[in-house]
Amino acid sequence: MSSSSSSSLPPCPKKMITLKSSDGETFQIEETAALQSKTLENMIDENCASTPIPLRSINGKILAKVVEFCNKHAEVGVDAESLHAWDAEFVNVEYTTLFDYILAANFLEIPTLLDLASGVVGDMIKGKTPDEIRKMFNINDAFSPEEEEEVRRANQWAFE
Amino acid sequence: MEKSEKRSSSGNESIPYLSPEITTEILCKLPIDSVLRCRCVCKAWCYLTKSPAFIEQLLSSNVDKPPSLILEPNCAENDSTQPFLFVDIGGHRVRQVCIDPLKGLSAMGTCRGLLCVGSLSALDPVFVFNPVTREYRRLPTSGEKVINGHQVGLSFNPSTGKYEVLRTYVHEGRRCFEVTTLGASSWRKLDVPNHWEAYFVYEPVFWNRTIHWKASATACDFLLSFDVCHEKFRKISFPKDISSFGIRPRAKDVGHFGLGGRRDDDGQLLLPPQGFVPDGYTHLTTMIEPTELELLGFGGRLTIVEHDNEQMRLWEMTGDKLEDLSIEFWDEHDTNMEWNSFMTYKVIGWWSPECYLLKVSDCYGDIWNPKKHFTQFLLERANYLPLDIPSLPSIPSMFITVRGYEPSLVSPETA
Repeated sequence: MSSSSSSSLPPCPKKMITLKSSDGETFQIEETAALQSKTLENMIDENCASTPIPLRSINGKILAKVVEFCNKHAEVGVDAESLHAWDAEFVNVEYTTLFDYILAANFLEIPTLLDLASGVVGDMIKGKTPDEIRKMFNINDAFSPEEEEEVRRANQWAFE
Repeated sequence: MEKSEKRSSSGNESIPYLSPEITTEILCKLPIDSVLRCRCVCKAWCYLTKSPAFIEQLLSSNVDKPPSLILEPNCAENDSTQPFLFVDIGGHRVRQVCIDPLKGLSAMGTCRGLLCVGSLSALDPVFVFNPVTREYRRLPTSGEKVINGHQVGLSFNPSTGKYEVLRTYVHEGRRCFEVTTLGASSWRKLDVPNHWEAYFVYEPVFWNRTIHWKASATACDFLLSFDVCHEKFRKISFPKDISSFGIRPRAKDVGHFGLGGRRDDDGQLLLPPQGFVPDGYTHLTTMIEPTELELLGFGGRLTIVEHDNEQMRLWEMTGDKLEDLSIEFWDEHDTNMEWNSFMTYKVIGWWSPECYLLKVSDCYGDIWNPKKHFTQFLLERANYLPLDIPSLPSIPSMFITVRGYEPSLVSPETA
């Protein structure tokens, strides 16, 4: 590199890493953005990030969004309010997609995304009946009506 | 029968399996009453929400949620007509907590969602109680004794997973301290220096394996701290800067009373000096006593709140071991409002570092029955946003707020 400190010089090439989704798509992400994922950070630290990193549990559609999220959150100079608005738009999706975000964020250990997406799912649960929640989560080990009544009685005040 | 073939044909195969770890992550975002309702969803969720790991994570997620409050009926001893109230600020709801054996008793120390409940003037009974799960457990009895100034503090020892209870009372002019472990069969008396009998102690506050009491001796306030793991006491002085009211330009101090007036059970002043007619008093600025220091154990911090007419200063306890504890300056805010002895406040919690929850006591209308209300104080905008909870009791002065309460599903039975 030239020793000149002129600001017109192109910035030094950014260090990129490559992620590969379960369906074979590859994505480039700057190392600085990738560091939001503890899983990727560990791989970078252990020099395991020089070849494409296979992510077998995340498909291309979701991984693209996750990369987008990491890039946005790595941007400098974004004020809290506009980032908040951006986040709100980002999670304005079907809840099944939110589940995919949560799973990806959990696997990649991205606490901001995990928090954001699980918070939105939490908000969806709040006003729902147990039956609606069972449908939403595809749960089929429901109690018998008698058992359910018993659990309900034990926590009666919360239903009032 | 709804079998799996039917589910897959309805397109539910797009719903992935969520591990208990992820379900925990989601359910911990919910207010505590929603968590209880979710126990009805299925066996797995019911089981999950009763597991110690879940209970622990739910407790630590309290810092991101609107606080809940416990209001204790402020009625004469043995008047057992009023129940405790559980105020869910986020959900704008007030619910009654009617537990017969607890009626007429006072709330004392709180720790991890558990509350000590007992009488100020009798050693028995004392209960450890969870207002959310409604479970309670009676502590060992200690026989008849004429006492007063009874205060019971609760603390958690993470290395044993046990709750330790420390109480103090005055018996035959001596201040006594006793300790027990939740689940043990008796209290043990602790040796304390003789001159402690002169101390007046306020309500106990739990923080980080220690119980702290604001205490007063002649003309000086200090902290009395007790390490439950090592059963050691320490007296900690407040830093010299606290209450050194001379260092700042003061509001013109027209009506500085002797402030020897009556206080309610929150320690808030009820009565201006005798003969004072509260009429045309809006121009009066009265000094708030320099002892206006409050301890608040909340959100994983022990905060000492100091306030005067305009400023609110916050000090924080730092250090890990009892001998290393010290009080450090944390933050200072202009409250953008002139407080005086008719209009006072207490900090009772916060739900983000930018928003404090205050209880305001206003004697302007009727000095005998101050109006009380809860308000949020938004730091960034330095303004106030009263809490709008329609079902809050119409006479809030009939209730005392348990400060620093954090709801949890911790059971006093399994603890």
